[in-house]
Amino acid sequence: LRKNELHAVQMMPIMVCATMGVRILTIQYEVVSVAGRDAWISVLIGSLLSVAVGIGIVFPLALLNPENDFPQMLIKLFGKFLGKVFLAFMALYSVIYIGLTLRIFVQATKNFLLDRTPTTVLVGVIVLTLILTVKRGVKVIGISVDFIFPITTITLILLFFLALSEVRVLEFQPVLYKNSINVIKGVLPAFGAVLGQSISTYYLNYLTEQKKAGKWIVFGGIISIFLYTALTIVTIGAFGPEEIKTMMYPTLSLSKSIEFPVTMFERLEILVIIASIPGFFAWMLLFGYASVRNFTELFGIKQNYHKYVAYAHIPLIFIVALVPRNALEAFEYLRIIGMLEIIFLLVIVPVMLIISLFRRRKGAKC
Amino acid sequence: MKKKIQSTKTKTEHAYYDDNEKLRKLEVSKNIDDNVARLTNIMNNSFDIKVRKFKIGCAGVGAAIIYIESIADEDKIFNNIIKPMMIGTKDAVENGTKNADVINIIKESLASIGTIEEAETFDVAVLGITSGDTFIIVDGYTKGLIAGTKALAGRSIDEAQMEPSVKGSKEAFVENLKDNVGLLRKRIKDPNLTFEAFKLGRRTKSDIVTVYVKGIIDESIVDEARKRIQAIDIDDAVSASQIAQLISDSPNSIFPLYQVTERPDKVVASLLDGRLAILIDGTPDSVLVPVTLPMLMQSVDDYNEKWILGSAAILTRYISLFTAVLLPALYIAFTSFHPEILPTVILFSITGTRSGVPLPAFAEAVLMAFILETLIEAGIRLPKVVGQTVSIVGGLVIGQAAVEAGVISPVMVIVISITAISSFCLPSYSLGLAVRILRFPFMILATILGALGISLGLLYMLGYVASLESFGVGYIEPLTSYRLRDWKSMALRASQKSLIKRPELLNPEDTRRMRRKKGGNSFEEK
Repeated sequence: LRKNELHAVQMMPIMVCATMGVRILTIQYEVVSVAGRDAWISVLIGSLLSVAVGIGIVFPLALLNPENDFPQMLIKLFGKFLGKVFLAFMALYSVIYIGLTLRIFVQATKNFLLDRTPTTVLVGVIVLTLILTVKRGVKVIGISVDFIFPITTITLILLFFLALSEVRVLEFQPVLYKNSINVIKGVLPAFGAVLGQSISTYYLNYLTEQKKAGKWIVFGGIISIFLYTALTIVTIGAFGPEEIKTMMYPTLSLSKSIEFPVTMFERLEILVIIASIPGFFAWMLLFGYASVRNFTELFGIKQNYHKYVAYAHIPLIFIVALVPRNALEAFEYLRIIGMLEIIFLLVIVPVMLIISLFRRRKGAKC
Repeated sequence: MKKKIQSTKTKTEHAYYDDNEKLRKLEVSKNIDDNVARLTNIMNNSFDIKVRKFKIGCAGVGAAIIYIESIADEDKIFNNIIKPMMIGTKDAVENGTKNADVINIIKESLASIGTIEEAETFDVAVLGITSGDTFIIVDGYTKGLIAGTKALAGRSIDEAQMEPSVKGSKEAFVENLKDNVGLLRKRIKDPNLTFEAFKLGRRTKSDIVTVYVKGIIDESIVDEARKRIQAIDIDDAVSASQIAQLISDSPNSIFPLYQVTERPDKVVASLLDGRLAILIDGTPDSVLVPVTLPMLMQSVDDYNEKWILGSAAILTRYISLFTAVLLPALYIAFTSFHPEILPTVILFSITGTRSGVPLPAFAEAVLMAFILETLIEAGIRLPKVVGQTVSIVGGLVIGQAAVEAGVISPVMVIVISITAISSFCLPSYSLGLAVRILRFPFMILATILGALGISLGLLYMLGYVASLESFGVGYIEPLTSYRLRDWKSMALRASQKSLIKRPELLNPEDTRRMRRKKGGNSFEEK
């Protein structure tokens, strides 16, 4: 039986969903606050850089360690002690990251969909659904993401085309005028937002032919770059940079501003938030499974008990999601923790790649 | 006292095994009267057990035959067993009485019967007699003969009742296994069409047959089916669905992980795709494994029409599937949680019809859905003559009266009607049942969390369905992106010319279904 096996083509939906999450709803707010009207350039550069890191560092690292996923690589390459220290950091980071992202999404749901439902209920129900799927293993996650990918992508592409009519070119002018430094500053949050690339290290080892996955990771990256940049462009064009700074979820606000040609739906933003639930869920699945793997390896738990580690995540994520007093606070925490991830990805992961390369050469010489 | 009760219970549980073990140890005696007495005793002196004693030829050797008149062919017994043994065998028996083996002479020269086998113990004899065969015993011999004289009553081949089709074959399976095997044999004239027989049911001893085409099917499916069937130890193996549940991958799942069909043409198409069929004597259904959700969404008619029409029909069914599960839930979510999503005109018209209705949307939906389920159940159980009355009383009287009385809103009646019609679009009855059940949890989710509840419910269902497997094949394959080639014959239906290969998900040994002939004009590309 073909248990727990992914196909190379599945890396495309995995990469797209891993880079989307809740940030596709908020990226304009994050980057426009720094780079103003030229934020789309920052997003373009940031997302390009992120895909480059994914292909140039993360993917080769996975190819050099085909039998291991990220937590196993940490222990294998840094030794048991140092590896577990890094892994503890990763495990903590992943739970906090998931919890905070969940809180931001729940707040969006409360604002646009269920304003009277308590946050605790929403958080609890989403976490429960998430864990009940994560415990089923990587194959089920792969299939779920396969189904969700077209829903998310088509919704966002449709939104882009519908919003095109709202775009005012004046909002972008003058391009890069006295703003180059801010554009460069804006690259960092943009890079952080699209930073789902590291997730591939948790899934590539389930592939039989890992090398073939390279092109699908690139395709996934291209789709992410397009969606992030395109949505930033139409949002800036529709609202202008100053207005965006007051919006927590510009993508949802964008759908609110669209005049739907046929009066089929009165409020499109509700449909967009409903359509974004699967996309966010897919992101949670991918990161949730990664988190379960981190804890499983950290405590040396056998693979058979994977589902108990998943169940243990229910209170963890629930508590983390309820710590911030509101979405803005969650956002601030996320920004701080995002920086740590950038450092980790740009320092630790390259070191791991160098060690892997060094070990391979050493192995070849012997 | 308690101990005594317990020991009695254990004895009852093992009674059958003990009886069967006794029979296995009990050998045929040389005295036919002893044998006859034993057999009639074992059969509890049932009225339809017939014993006929006679002398073979003129030699004066005593013999007896035992059979059950209700399931044996008495003409055959008289003309092909008794008659040749009594009058047509003088020379053979006169020579044979002293020197030769009379049993062997009967077997080789006298009884003109298709199948005849020796039996030395009573378990074989009893199984033969209860299957409709005739047991022949001869004085002075410690073995007897089982002659094939089955004549089981059954109906003739009829039209499919549960799976009607507009075009294509009208034949359906019947209760007789031999007829069903014949229906398949006449459609596939290939020596590789293999029938593997098993006996199942400690008491029913039913004949069960697995059917597959060697060289096409993945052998691991055959091995798995064999292993699972052999692992069954049950008193009564009476229906194909019952056996299917016993060999199913997830017995607690509400989704059918096997396909039940009464259509031989469907079975033939499935066998040629690389699937395995299970037939059981006494039931007009066959079971097909492995099965996937897209397979259950297809009907024979899809392939009797042009590919565009076939694909459109399949697509309609998928839409119906979602409508049947989600429409009442969506109605609740939109009217209770998100009325702002609907255009003002529609919203006003819904609120207008709902004004004065005392029940909340959820109670209204559940009540109507429950009434619908009751009507469906009553329609199935009632005799055909009164069946129509139920639909008139249910559909027209209750529906209209409930609306006029202001208990139910007219929109809800429309919603429930569309839901009912949609659930009947599904070709698989079992899948239709699952869908009808699923409607209720989704209504509850919509009542608690609106559209978010429905979304989360769907996402949970997606994970659940993705985790299901039928004989090693994923339940929602090939709907995933990495099986696009199989979409041609599973998710949708491509043109006949392009269906060159068999579905990859079944891992067939012979992958090609069709070859393009050079020089011909039928399949040549222009």
